[in-house]
Amino acid sequence: MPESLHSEGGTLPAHERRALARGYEAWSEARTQGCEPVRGRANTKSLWRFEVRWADAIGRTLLPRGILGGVVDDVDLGQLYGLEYGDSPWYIRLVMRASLWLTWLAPIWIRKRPRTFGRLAQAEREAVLERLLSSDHYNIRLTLMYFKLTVTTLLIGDPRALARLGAYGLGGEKPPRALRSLP
Amino acid sequence: MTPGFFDAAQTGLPVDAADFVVVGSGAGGGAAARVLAQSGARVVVLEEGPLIETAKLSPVMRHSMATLFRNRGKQAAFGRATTPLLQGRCVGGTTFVNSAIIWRLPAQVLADWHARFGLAEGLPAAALDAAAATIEEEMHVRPVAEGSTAGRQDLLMRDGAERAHIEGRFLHRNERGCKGSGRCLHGCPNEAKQSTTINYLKRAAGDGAAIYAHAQVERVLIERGRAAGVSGHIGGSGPAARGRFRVGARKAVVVCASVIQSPNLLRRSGVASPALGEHFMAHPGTTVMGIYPDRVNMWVGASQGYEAYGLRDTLGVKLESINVPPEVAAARFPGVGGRLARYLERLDHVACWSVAVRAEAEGRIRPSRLLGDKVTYNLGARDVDRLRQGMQRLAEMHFLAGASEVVTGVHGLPEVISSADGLRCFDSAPLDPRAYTMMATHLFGGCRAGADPARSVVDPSLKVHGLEGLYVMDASIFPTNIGVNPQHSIMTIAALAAQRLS
Repeated sequence: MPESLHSEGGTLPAHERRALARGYEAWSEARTQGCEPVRGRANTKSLWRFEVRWADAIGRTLLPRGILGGVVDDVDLGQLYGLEYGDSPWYIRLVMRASLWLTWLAPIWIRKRPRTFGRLAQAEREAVLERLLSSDHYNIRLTLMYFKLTVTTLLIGDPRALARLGAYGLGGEKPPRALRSLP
Repeated sequence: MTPGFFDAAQTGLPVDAADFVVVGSGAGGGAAARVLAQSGARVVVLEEGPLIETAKLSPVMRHSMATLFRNRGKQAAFGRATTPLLQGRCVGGTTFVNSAIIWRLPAQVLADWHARFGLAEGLPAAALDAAAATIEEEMHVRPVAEGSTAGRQDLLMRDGAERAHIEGRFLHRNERGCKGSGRCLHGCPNEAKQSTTINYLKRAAGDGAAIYAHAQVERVLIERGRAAGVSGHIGGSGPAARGRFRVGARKAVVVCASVIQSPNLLRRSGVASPALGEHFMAHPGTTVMGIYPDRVNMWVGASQGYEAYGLRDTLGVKLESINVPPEVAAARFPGVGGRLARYLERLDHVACWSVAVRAEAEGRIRPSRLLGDKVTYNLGARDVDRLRQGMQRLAEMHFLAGASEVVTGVHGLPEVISSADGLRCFDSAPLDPRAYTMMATHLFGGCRAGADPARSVVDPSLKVHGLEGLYVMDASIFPTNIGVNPQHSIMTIAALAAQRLS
C-alpha cells in the first residue's frame, strides 16, 4: 500500500510539502515560471480598468465571498481575470471580453430596463447569470460557460481552496480511506 | 553530438546532422527514438515544448495548462459546436499529461486496416503483438489494484458497472511506484508514470540520442525527392531563444508531431497529397457527476482507475472513472451564487465518470494564419445519440452505486436528477452536439496510412508516398478511429516501423 496515501502529508510529495511550508505565494510563483506563451500573436492586449471591475463584480456574483469558508475572499478576481486574459490566445480573449459586455448589458434586454448589471441587487444579478447560462442561444451559453469555468479555475484552483477541499493532499489533511472496499 | 536532454533556448542547437531526426517526443517520437538509438544510429529528437523539472509541477490546473499543454489548454475544434482539444506540449508530449492508460490495438480494427487499406504487409499482427509485448514489459504496464492505487470513485464505478451488468476492469497503466496522487493530468509529481520522458527518451539518451526542448520545426527540407533535414526556430526564453536552426538527416526524418501538427508540418514542407489533413477523427466525450452521501474525494488514488468496456463493441462507447480537477468539476455544477456554493461544499462527495464515443464523424486539419492550426469537426446525430446513451448508462451506474443525485450537464434536460426514475430524460436529450459540454482527447488521422497514394499520405511502411527518407509515426497515420486509448497503439506501430528503418 503506498505510504503517501495514508501518511499525514496526504498525497503531496515531500518536496512540495517543503515548498508549501514557505508559503502559498512562493510555492505558486515557482510553478508559474517558464509558462509557455501561446502560439500566434504576442499578447499585448489587456482589459480596460472598468472591464477588470466588471469581471470582479460578475465573478463574485457567480462565486460569492464566503465560499469554502472564505479562504479565497482576499483574491483580487478582476486582476486575475485580466492576467488570464492577457495570457490567452486571441479567440479566447474575444470570448472573455464578450462575456463581460454581454453580462453587463444583459439586464437591458432581459429585463427591458435601462440598467446595467452593476445596478442590480445580488438576487437579480444571480437571476441574470442563470438566465444567460441556460440561454437557448448556443453562443451566449458557451460564452458564459467559459466565464464560469475561468472563474472557478481562478478561485477554486487557488491552492487554499484545493486545500480546503482536501484535494491532492494540499491541506496536509489525512485523506479518507480511499482504498476501502464498498460495503 | 552530445547525448542527453537539453533546453535549446539555453544551449542552442549545435547539431549539424544526425542519422535520424525525430520531430516530436510523445508516444510516437519516444518509441521511434528508443528503437533507432538502440540500433546504434545517431538520433536527435526535436521537441517544440519545454523540458519540465518534476519539482516545478503543480497540482493547480491553471499552472499545468500554462506549462504543459498546447495553447495553454485553450485549443479547440470548430464546427457546429466548439470542442476543446487537449494536447500535451512538452518533452514527453501527451504521454506526460495523460492517465497512462494502456490498451492494445483491437484485433478487429487491425483486420479492417488490412482489408480496406492494404496494411497487412506493413503492420502484420504477429510483429505488432511482439512489439506490444516488449513495450508492456519495458513500460511496466500493470493494472490498478484494489488496496493499492484504486480510489474510492474507482471502487464505486466497479460496483455500479457490476450491478448494471456492464463488463469492466481496473485500468491497465504504465507506471512504476504510483502513489495515487491523482495528478496524472498535471504531470506525475512522483515520476511514477512511465511517460516517454521518464522511460523511452531516457533510454534513447543512454544509447546516444540528443533530445532538445524548445526546438520548433517549421519545415522538412526536401531536396531532389528526398527529406534532407529540418529547419525551424528556438522557442522558450534564454540566450539562444529565437535563434534559427537547421539539422541534416543522413538517413531519414521521422515526423511524430501529433495528429494536428504532423499534417500541417508536411503541408508547410511542400508535401502534396489529396488525403493530407483529411479524415481527422476523435473520441469526443463528456462526464457525468454523481453526488454521494459519503465523502468520495476523487482526487485520491489513480487519476483514472476503472473502465467499463462492455459497451465498446455494441454501442461504441467506453466508460471510465476520471478525477476531474476540482476547479473544472466546480464549473460543471448547475447554478450560480448561493446555489453553486452549496454544491461546492459537496465537491468532495462527487464521483466523476466519463463516456468517450468512437465517433464516425470526420473533420479536417489545415494551417491557419489566425489560429495557427485549424481543426474543423462536426459530430453527427448518430454520434450524439451514442453519447447520450452512454451518459444514461453512467447515470444509471451512479444510482446503482448509491449516488443520491446525478448532474446531467445537458442543455434542455433537468440539471439534476435524484432517482433512477429520472433516467428516462436522457431519451429526449437533444441530438444537437451544442447541447453537450464535450471535450476530445484521443485524436486520429490527417496523414492516413494506406497502399493507395490517392487515398493516403503514407505507405504501409509509414513512408510518405513519393518521397524518400520521410516517415510519419504518430496517430495521424491511423486510417480509422480505433475506439480505445491510443498511446499503446501509437508506440507499438512506431516501434515496429522504426525497427524496419534501423
